[in-house]
Formats: sequence, structure tokens, C-alpha cells
Amino acid sequence: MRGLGRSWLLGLGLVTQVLAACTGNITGDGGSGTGGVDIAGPNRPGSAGGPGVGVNGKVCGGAKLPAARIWRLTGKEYLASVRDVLGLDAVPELELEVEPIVDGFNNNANALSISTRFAAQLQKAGGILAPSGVSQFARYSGCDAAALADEVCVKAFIQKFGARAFRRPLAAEETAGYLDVYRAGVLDNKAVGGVLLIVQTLLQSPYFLYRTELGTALDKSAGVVRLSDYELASELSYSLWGTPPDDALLASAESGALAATAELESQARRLLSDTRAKESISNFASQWLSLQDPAAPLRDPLKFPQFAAVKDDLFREFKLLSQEAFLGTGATLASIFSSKSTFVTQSLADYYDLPTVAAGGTPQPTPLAGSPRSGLLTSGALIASWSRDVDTAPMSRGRRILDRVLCQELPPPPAALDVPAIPALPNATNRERYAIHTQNPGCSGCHTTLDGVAFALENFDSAGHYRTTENGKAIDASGHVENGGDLDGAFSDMAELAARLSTSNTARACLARQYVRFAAGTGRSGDDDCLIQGLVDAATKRGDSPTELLIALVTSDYFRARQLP
Amino acid sequence: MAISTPDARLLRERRRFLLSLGSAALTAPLFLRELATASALPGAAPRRVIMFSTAMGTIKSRWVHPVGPLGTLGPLLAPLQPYVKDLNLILNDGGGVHNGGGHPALGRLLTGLAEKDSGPAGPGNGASIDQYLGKVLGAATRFPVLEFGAALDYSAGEEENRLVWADGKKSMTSEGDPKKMFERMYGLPPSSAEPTKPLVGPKAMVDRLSSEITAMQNTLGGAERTKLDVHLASIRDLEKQIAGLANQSCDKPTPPTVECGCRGNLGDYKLVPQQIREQIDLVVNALACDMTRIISFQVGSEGGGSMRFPFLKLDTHDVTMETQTMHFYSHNDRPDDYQDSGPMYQIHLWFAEQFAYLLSRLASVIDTDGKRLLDNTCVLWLTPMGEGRLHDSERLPLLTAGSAGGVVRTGQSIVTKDRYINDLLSTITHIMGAPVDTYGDPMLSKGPIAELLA
Repeated sequence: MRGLGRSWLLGLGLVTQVLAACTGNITGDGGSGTGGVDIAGPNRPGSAGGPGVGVNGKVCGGAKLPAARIWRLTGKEYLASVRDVLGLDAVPELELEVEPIVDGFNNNANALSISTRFAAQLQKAGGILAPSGVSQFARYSGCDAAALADEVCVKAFIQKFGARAFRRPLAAEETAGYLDVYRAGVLDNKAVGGVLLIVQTLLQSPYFLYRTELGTALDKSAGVVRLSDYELASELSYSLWGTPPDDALLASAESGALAATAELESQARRLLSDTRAKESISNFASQWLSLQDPAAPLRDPLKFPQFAAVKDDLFREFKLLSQEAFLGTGATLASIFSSKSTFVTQSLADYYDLPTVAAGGTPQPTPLAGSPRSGLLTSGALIASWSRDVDTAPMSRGRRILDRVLCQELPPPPAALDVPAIPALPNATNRERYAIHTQNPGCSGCHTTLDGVAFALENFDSAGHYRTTENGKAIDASGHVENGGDLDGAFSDMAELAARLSTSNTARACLARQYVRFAAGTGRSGDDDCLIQGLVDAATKRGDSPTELLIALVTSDYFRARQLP
Repeated sequence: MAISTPDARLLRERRRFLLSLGSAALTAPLFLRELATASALPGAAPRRVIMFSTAMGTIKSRWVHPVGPLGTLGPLLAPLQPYVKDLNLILNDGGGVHNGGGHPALGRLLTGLAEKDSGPAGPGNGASIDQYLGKVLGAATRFPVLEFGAALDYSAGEEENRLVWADGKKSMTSEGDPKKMFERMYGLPPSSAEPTKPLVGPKAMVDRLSSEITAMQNTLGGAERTKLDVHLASIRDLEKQIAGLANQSCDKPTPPTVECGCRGNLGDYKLVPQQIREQIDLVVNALACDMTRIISFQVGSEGGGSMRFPFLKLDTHDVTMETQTMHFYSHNDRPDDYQDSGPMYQIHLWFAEQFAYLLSRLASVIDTDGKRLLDNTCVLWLTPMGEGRLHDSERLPLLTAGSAGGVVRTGQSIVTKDRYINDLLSTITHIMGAPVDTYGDPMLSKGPIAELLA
């Protein structure tokens, strides 16, 4: 049913050989890749009790693969898939349930399922979209657009349309099942009713709505399966593009070529050089760094009169800057934190106190030389998203630095703690107002860590505007990092912290960990330091390139293999 | 005019800002902004609206309720008592229809224009609100809007006879004939030789999906299997809903029996009670099956086209009067016409009974989200006059029912001071998720009525 091809079987033989030799990866083909994370076989010394995950040449015994699973499309992915299969430029407005957010991301595989309400919405959406499917009849069936009553043509339509929707060929039983659906639709409403019902049903099929990551029957005794080529094609495409696989990727899966690491890597590089990768990476960046919904009115226009006029420009800047920092020519992991150029319109240049840029409404690449800003963390959209109207929300800024950038989990305040109110103190700085945290012994345990980074962004007000004073007093944006490995120690302001982040292994590892959560739909997991370090090493070895980190992940067994329950 | 003062303008800006905050807070938090549709929030059933109008105001002393939470309704609203939690009573104190002048206010009740033929002005461009919403939101359904009516007579002046307008100058015809409306909605009634077959497609679809989910489930273990339990149950629920809806209202219903021209024809007016029930049944079918989400429903014409009530014993003391028009009673100064159980009292009570029937039907249908259809609908009951005896159009007794999916705050009696009907019309646009802050003539608009928005 999964359409195993001849070359797949060849690949399977190869893999079994590797397993038998028990010398390294089970999903690769001997390793012509450029530094993937590999999995050791179950009998490998040092991996007592289960397979370990090898990283960039070495084995991490404690690391766990994601479970064999099904992974529901997010709303965004559903719309992209509908657009693809129906050949639409734009999808009509549909009502779709909003995803749960887990560890900051909305695509967590465990958390996504289909409720009764969502099922009803999908049913209705299927009905709304079905006519667009009928208009694709000729394209998929190869018959005349009017040949809706010809069952030979209908069968061809089911096979081709179905393969596009399921991202794999249909089994004979499935084609026959949809022919039954067609016939029922014909009884109600002639031939067109039959084709409408095929489309409406296919768009609600679990094989359309979920991606399967169940692998093949391969080596079940070892408790590990390798994704089928079609599953891998979908995994790759939804992770890097947020869309279903295109023709070239499906062809690679069909021929079995995708099983080879070299082919997988070359497909991944092709995808990453395509403009669709940009959309996906900025989606990651905004979830990674907890950006607010650009449509929400973030700031009170009475308190921050200039903000509304540049808000769209700010969010566009973040998007372009994140795309450039991850995927631009010469992008480095360092540049994510320390890039000294950005994308501004004239009104944003004014807001940021930058020199005049070329006229027009489109953002221009602009150097940040002499500006206090560098990289994503000082972009106005991020700062506004991390702030509130009444004050700069330093604790929430600090918590986000710890949680999103350093991957340090801070426990919530103990329930029994009598939390003292932060005094209003009209003529004080935020640092002075919040001093109670570190003076009170009940608070200082945690707040020494939190407040250490909480004031780093104080030179930026709630609207992302740079400032040097607050209520007439000079701002002190210094602080210190604790439990942050190579980041530990004092910093004098955000510029220094950003510079330190840009050379830090801790920051790189956290970024890698967050990207793995996004690309693999997994939440926090236990002992994955070794895996994460493997990814970081793969990147730093090759020019500190974010692309290389992504390549290392998608060619790894963490991406390509699954643990059976 | 008061609303052009700077203070009023500032207030309006402030209100607009607060409203924009409110609607933003309701939309999806992050990244799914594009999924939030104009007509409904993600995860909700679609919102529907019905603009239901009856003729010639009311008798306020028998209608009114103290400001605050609703308790026992006045005797003219007694038939609505079962739905008291779903209602709002809005006593519009000063404002109403600008220069309404009694009967002709009907023609501008839904357009919000300042004068007859004052032409395109502001949002709506002179169209009645149902037509405007149909243009903005109607693409989602087969009919952008359906215009129903009962006891219509278009023989007199357009302004006093017609509720629905394409723009400030061009009136539209509401469909008073249930048979014609049925044909529009369902095609011609089947001949007796060809009985309707129940649909087989929806069941085949659900069967296919169930078998696929089961097949997928059989390839899974542990928690993943549980994940699909929920999905499978959801699909089976859906099957029940499809079956339920088919039984309740989405099947082709029994065709109506009334063919109603009703133009001054006593015989036809005897059919009005049957006509209005058949029309209401079709309204509920249209909404339940999502054929449309926007309905206007005009009951009776004003002035020279006024309806008659041969089915009510209105003039027991003078049997020759039993065929008189409502217009006749409205201008008649006989002391008991407006007394309890007098003709006007009986007429307005009968109107409330028809409105109650509409609510009862909406409450009996379970919508796709498991709520009553009434809960996902906002039904407005409008009339172009205040105290019918006075023919004033400045102090209108208005009423809403249903929360449109929780968007409308209900269960209250409020007084709106110096607000033209425009503000209720712009409130409707907010309720339906296509908000504009002025509707019709902007000079008459202060913005939506905040007390009505949850």
C-alpha cells in the first residue's frame, strides 16, 4: 500500500547490511552526507537498553528518537495543502480551529488532533472547496473536463488527485473506495455530484489531514523504523517549506532515490534555496522568539502615538531580517544575534534614527553601523511584543531571554509566596522599582537569575524606541548571566550581551534545540544535549552556517527514523 | 447637531479604538490571523442575522420594561417570556428614523438615510443593511441574502410599503409567496410520480472516512491510537449531525400551501397566519442548512398598503368593521382601539406571537456546533414607529433575540438616548463580524451601541 519501489528494496537491503554490521546509522546509506546525526544499532556497545543517537560521527547513547506517530497538519499547512492540491492562488476564507501552543510552537505533534468542532469545520470547508476540485478534473484525469460520467476518467482522477492529496500513491482498495463514494454522489446529484463528493471526502481524509510517520515494517524487532520515502518527502517539505512536497520531491520518493543521504541532502538544499523556505523560517523565528500577532493593536495609541504608523514596517522588518539571518548569502548563526544591517522603510529609518534610505514603501537593506541595534533581539517588533503599555515588562522580557534564547526553564513563583506588589514610584527607573525582587530573600533565589537579564533591553521602551533615560534618570542596562555556560558573567548593556550571544555555544545550542522542536514537532525532551551539540558542531564546522544546521538535522536519523511504542 | 462637536468626535474615536481592541482580543492570537473569517471566529458556527419588521410601532405602556436585567415582560411581549434570557429590549429615546414621519419611516428603517431620496451616503451607499451584509459576507453561502415577507401590499407609496432597498432610490421586492420562495430554495416541487429519495452521498462520505480512520488506527500503537479515537468519534458525531439535520431541516421540507398575493384581497388575508408560519419555517430551513446567513422579513406594509386581520375578531361591537385595515385603526381615535384587548392591542399581540414562533423554531434546531440555532443568530425586531397612536418615529421600541454566537450581550432592557437607527445598523455590522462604525448617513451615526456588544 505504501508503494514500495524496486530501488527502495535495494536501499532496504543496504540498510539491513549496515544494521547487521552494527556500526552506525540505520537510515543512511553508508554516510556520504555532510554531517548528519546518526543512530547506533541496538547492539552497539554503550547503548544499553536501546538505540542511541549518533551525532556527527559520534554516538549519543541517551538520546531518543521521536515516536512513530501521526502528525496533524496545522491550519497554515492545511491551507497550503488545499492550495496545492486544488491549484488555487488563494483559498476562500474558512473557519478553522486554532492550534494549541506547546513550548512556544503551534505544531506540536502530540497536541494536534481533530475535535468534533474541527471535524465539522473541515466537513464544511470540504464542501466549500469541492467545486474547485471539480474544475481540476481535466488536469488530474487527463480526460475532457466534461467527462465526469466516464468511470475510467473518474478512476484516473481519483488516482492522480488522491496521490496529490495523500502525498503518496493510492492503494487499489482506496481507489475502489472512492469510486463507491463517487457512485453514491452520482445517485444524489448526477456525475458532478459524484466528483464533488470525491473531493469533499478526500479533503477530510485522515491521510490528507495527517502526515504518517510510521515507517515500514523494517526491523521492527529493533524497535526502530525508518520513514518511507513518501513520508520522508512530506517531512522534508512541511518542515522546510510548510507546504506539501512538489513534483520533483515526489518523483524522488517514487524512484526510491530519496532514501540515499546524498539525494536527501541535495533535495534539502534545493528546498532551502527556494523562496518558500523563507516563509517557513520566518514562521519559525516568530514562534521561537514569541512574536505577537501582527494584527493585534500592540500599543495604546494615546501613550505611544508614533507606534501604529510603523507597526507594519516593524513586523515586516522582523520577517525579512529573520529570513536574511538564517538563509541569506553568507548568513551565520552569529548574524542572528549580531547582524549589523536590517530592512527599513523611510518611516522606520526615522523611528530607528537611521540615515535616509531610498524612497518608496518597500524596505531597503540598511546598515546599522552606529546604531545600538544588532540582530533579531533588538528589532522593534520583538521588543514591542515582549512589552506592555504600563511599563516595559522587564520580568517578561527576562523570562523570554531565559526561556527562548538560553533554554533555561524558570519555575513559576511558589504558590505559597506572598508576592509583594511592584511599587509605582513615578520618578524611578524600572530597575529601582523592581529592586524589591532581589532585596526580598523570598524572591531573590529565582530573581537573581531572572533579574540578571531582565533589564538588558531597558534602553528600548515598550514601543521599541531607543532611549537612554527613564523618568529623567540614566538607564542602567547592565546585568549578568547565570547557569549559561560560556555566557556566564556580567555584561554592560544589550549590545554587549548580543555580541556575547553571537559567539556563544550555549546560544547556538538553544537555537538548535528550538529549531528541532519546530521541525520535528516535538516538545521539551530529556537528554538531548549530545544530539543538539552534534547539530551545532555540524554548522560551526561549515562556516557557522544556519543552513548547515538544518541540513544536518534533516539528514539525521532523528529526522528520518522513529521509535516504535 | 450634537454629534459634530469635538467632544462627540473624540468620544467616537475612543469608542472606535476600544472596539478595535475588543475585536483584536477575540481573534486568534498568533499566526492564524488569516484563518479568522469575517463572518465567524475560528471554531464557531457561522453567525446569522434576521431583520424582522412589523408595522406601526406598539403600545408602549404594554411593551415597556424597567431598565436593567429582564424579568417579567410587558403583556404585549408575553409570548416571548420563554426566551427572556435571549432578549434585549431597546427603548430608543430620541433619534429613531431621522425625519421619519410615521409610515414612510419604513423605507429608511434599514437604510439609515437622512431624507427620502437623499441618495448614496456613507457605508451602505443607501442600501438596506441586509443587502449591504449580503454584498460583504454573502459569498460564503448559496444566497447572499433572502428577502421574506408576509401580508405585503406594494400598491401605495414605496417609502411606506418597502423595507428593502438596493440603494437610496431603488427599492426591492420581498418575497411574500411561500411557494415561490420554496421554488427558489429547493427548485420546483417534485411531481407525485417521483418521490424524493433521501441523500446517500453524505453517508457514503462518512463511511469512507470512518473506514480510513479505522485502517490508520490499526497501524498505530499507544497514545497515537487514542489520538484517532477522538477523530473517529468526531466523524461519527458528524454522521449523527448530518442525519439529524436531514431529519430536522435540511431535507427538502413539505412544500408550502399558500400562494399569496394579498393585495387588498380579503380572501388572501385570511391566509396570512398560514403564510407567515410557512415563511418562518423556510427562514429556519435556510439558516439551518446555511443557504444564507442574512434574512430580512417584512410583515405588513405601512399606510395605504396596510394589512387586514379577518382572522382576528377585532371589532366585536361592530361586525361590519371586521375587515378594516390596520391603518384605519391606527388613525381612528375611538378611545378603545388602543385599550387592552382593543384592535391595536390584539394586532400587536399577534405580531409578538409570530415573532415567538420564529424564536421557537430557531431554538428547536441544533446547529453544527451543538448549540441552538437561536444561539448563533441575532434576530432583530424593528418597527418604523414608536407609539403607534402618535405616529412618531423618534422613540422606537426595538428588540433583539439571540447572541449570534456570544457576540451580543442579552437579557437586558436598555434605553438609548438620542441615537438614530443608524447606530443599531452599525451594531449589526459589528455583530456579523464586518464592522463599520457608521451606517447610512454618517452625520446621524455615533457608532455602535456598546451595551449590546458582549
